[in-house]
Amino acid sequence: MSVSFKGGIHPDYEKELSSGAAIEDLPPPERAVVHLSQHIGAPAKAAVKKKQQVQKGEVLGEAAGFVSVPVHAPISGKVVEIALHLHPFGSLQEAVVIESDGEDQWCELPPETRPESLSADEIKDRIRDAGIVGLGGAAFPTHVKLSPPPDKTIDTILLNAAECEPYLTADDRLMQEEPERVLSGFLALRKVLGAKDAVIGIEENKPEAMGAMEKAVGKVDGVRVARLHVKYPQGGEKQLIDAILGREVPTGGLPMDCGVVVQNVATCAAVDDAVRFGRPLISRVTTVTGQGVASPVNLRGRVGTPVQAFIDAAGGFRGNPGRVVLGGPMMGGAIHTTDTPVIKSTGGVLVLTPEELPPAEFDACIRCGRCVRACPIHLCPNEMGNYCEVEMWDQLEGLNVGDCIECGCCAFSCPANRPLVQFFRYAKLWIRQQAALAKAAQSQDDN
Amino acid sequence: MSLILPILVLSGIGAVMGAGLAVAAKFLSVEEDPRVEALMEILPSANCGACGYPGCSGYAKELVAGVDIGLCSPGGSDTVAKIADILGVEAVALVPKVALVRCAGGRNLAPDRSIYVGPSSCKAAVLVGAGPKECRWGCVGLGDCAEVCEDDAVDFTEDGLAFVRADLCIACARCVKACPRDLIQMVPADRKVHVLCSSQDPGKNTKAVCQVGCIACKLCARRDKASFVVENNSASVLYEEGSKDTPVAALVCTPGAIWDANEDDLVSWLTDPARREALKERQAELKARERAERAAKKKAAAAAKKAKADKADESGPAEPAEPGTQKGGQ
Repeated sequence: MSVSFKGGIHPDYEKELSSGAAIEDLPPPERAVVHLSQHIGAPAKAAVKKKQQVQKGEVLGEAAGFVSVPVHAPISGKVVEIALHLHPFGSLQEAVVIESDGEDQWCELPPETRPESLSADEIKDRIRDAGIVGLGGAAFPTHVKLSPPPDKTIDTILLNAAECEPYLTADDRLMQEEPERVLSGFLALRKVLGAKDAVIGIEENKPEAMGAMEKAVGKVDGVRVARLHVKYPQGGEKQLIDAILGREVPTGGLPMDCGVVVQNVATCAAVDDAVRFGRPLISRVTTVTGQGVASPVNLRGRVGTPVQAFIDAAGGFRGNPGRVVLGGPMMGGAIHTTDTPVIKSTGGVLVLTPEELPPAEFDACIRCGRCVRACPIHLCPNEMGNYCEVEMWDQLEGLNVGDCIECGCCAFSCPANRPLVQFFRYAKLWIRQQAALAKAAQSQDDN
Repeated sequence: MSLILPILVLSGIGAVMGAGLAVAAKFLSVEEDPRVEALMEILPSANCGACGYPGCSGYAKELVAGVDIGLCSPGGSDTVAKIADILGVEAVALVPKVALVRCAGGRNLAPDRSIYVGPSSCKAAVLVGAGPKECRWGCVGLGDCAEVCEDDAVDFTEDGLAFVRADLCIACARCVKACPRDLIQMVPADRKVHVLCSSQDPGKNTKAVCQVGCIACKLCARRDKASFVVENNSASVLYEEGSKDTPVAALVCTPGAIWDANEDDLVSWLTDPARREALKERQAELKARERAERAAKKKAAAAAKKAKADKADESGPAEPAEPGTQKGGQ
C-alpha cells in the first residue's frame, strides 16, 4: 500500500539513466568560486582577505543574521579575489575565489564525537556553524527550521526521500550506499526537535534505497519507513505531509504550523558529518544526467566547482547540447554558460538535447482544466494564468497565487504550452512590489 | 372623454414632479467651485496621471484646494499660465520635459547571453536567470514601456533597443514606472547632451558586456563638474540649475556613452554606425587640436623664459625667474 496526495502528474522519470552509477568523487577544482549567497536569507559576510591562505573547511563568509549561514572553503589554497561572479541564478553576486595549493588539507576541526553525547543545543550549534542548508533545492538554513517558536510543538519529523524530480538519483544513491549516515543525521535532527515520531517517506520506484533504509532503521524506536506512490511533486513539503500524515499546512504557513518538520536526505547526511566530525558542508552529491551527456553519473563534488567539470566527468556532451539545467527538469533553472560554479543546493546537472526542448510558442487557454486537476495545491492555474497574462492584478485577489509552490505541474499538463509558472512568478513579484509600496506609503503617513 | 382623463392625470403627475425637481434643485443643490469647471476646460484632458492625481478632473479639484500648479507636464507653460489666471495666483515657469531611455546598447553593441522563452514582457524576462541580456542594467527590449505609452512615443531599433520619440512624448512618465530596470528618466526637453547608460558595474565589467557603456572614467565630470556627476560607477547629467549642455563632454567620452543632440538625432545615433565613426573623428580632431594648443602654449612659455633670461644676462647678475612664467612652461 502506498500513500499519496491529490493532484500531481506522471512525467517520464528517466531515472534509469543514472540510478545504476555508484557515487564517485569529483577531484577538487583548481580554482573554486564560492558564492557568499548560497542560501535563502541574508548573504554571508566575507571574513577573509585577498591573498590570504585558507585551509579546507575554513570560514570564508560569516552568517549575517539569524536566517543566514556561514560559507566555508571547499579547497585549501590562496584567496585570489573577492568580487562579483556569475551566480547559478543568473545574476552577479559576491564570491570568494580560491586558487588551490593542491594540498587539500583540512583546517582544525572540532573533536570527533558521538551524536548521542551532545545536547540538542550543541547539535544545533554544530549544524549552524557547518553552514548546513536544505539540500533539496530551496537551501533554507537548517538551524532555522530546528528553532520553532516556543508556542509550536513538533511531534513528527519527516525524512523527505521521495526524490520526485525526474532524472535525479543523488538521494537514491546516497540512501543505498550510506544509509547509516543518513539515518544518524536524521536521528540527530529528531533529537534537536524532540519529535516523538520520525517517518522516512520513499517513493516506490526506489526499492533498493527503501530496503537499505529499512535495514538501517531496524528496531530504532519510533522510526518507520512509508511507501509513497510515484507521482510528482511527491517530494514537495506540503504534499509529503499530506500523503504521510494527512495534515494540511495552512495558507501562508510553514510545516511547523501543523507540528511537522521535513528534512531532505542529503541534508541529513551533511548533518551527520557536521555533528559527528564537525565538518562543514563543502561538498554534496550531484547527479549529472540527461540524453545530452555521454555517460550519466552521480558525483560528490565540491561547492564552487564549475559546471563544466561535472559535465567532463560524465564524458562530456553527447552531440550538441540544447539546454543545461541546474536541478531537475521541473523546477531547475537553465544556465547560459558552463563556467557557472555550483552552490550547496545544486543537486543535479541536466543536459537536454535540442530535440527534447519544449516549443517556445504558446497559445491561448482552451479551458480544458487539466492544470486544475494537476495542481497539488488545488489552485486554479487556468484562471490565474489568464489574468496574469493581461496583468489584471485586481482579479487575482482570492485566487491565492501566493500559495503556488512553482512545481510546474500546470505548465507540464497544459496542451497550449502556456508558461504558467512564469506568469505566477511575475504575479508574485507584482504582489511583493505592491506590498513594498503600501509599506512605504504607510511609513510616510506615520511621519 | 376616455382620452382626456389620462392626459390630465399624466400632465398632473408631470407638473407635480417638475415642481418637486425645481424645489430640489434650489434647496438640495451642491455648491461647486465654478473654477473647477473652468480648470477642466483648459486642462488637456489627457488623463495621463503625470500630476499624480486621478485624471484631469482630479487635478482640477485639487488645484482649487491649493496644490502646486506646475504639475501638468502635457499642458506645458501655456496651461500653467491659464491655471494661474483662473486661480488668481502667480504663474510658474514649467520646464517642458521628455522621457529618455538611458541605454544605447542594442543587441549589436551589448549582446544577449541567453535565449529567453516566455511571456513577452521585460518584467517577466528579468525574473528568469536575471534576464537574457549580458548587461544586467541594460534595456531588455520587450516593450513594457511601449505597452503603457498611449501616444506611441516609444519605438524600438532593429536591435531591440527602446527609445522615446521626443516629438510624440507628452511627459506623462508612465514608462518611467513600467521599466523594471529603471532606465527611463524625465529630462528637460531643451537639453541636448545626455548620458545614455545606466550601468553601475565597474568599468571593466561594463566594457566586457557593452561597447557603448559608461566606464566611469570621469572625463566628462572633469570637463564640467557642475553638469556631470559620476556616482556608483555611473555618469549622469545633473539637469538642475547651474548645469548646462557641455558638447565637449561627448567628445571626451571614450566609449561614446554621451549623446549630443546638436550633432546627431537620436535614431541615427542609435542605429547608424557611421555616426559613431564620425564621433571618433571629431574626438581625434579635438585631441589633435588640444595637443597643438598645449604645444603652442609650451613653446610660447619657453620663448618668454628665454627672452627673460637673455634680458637678465644683459642687465647683469641673474634675477630669480618669476614663478608664474616657469609654471606656464610646464
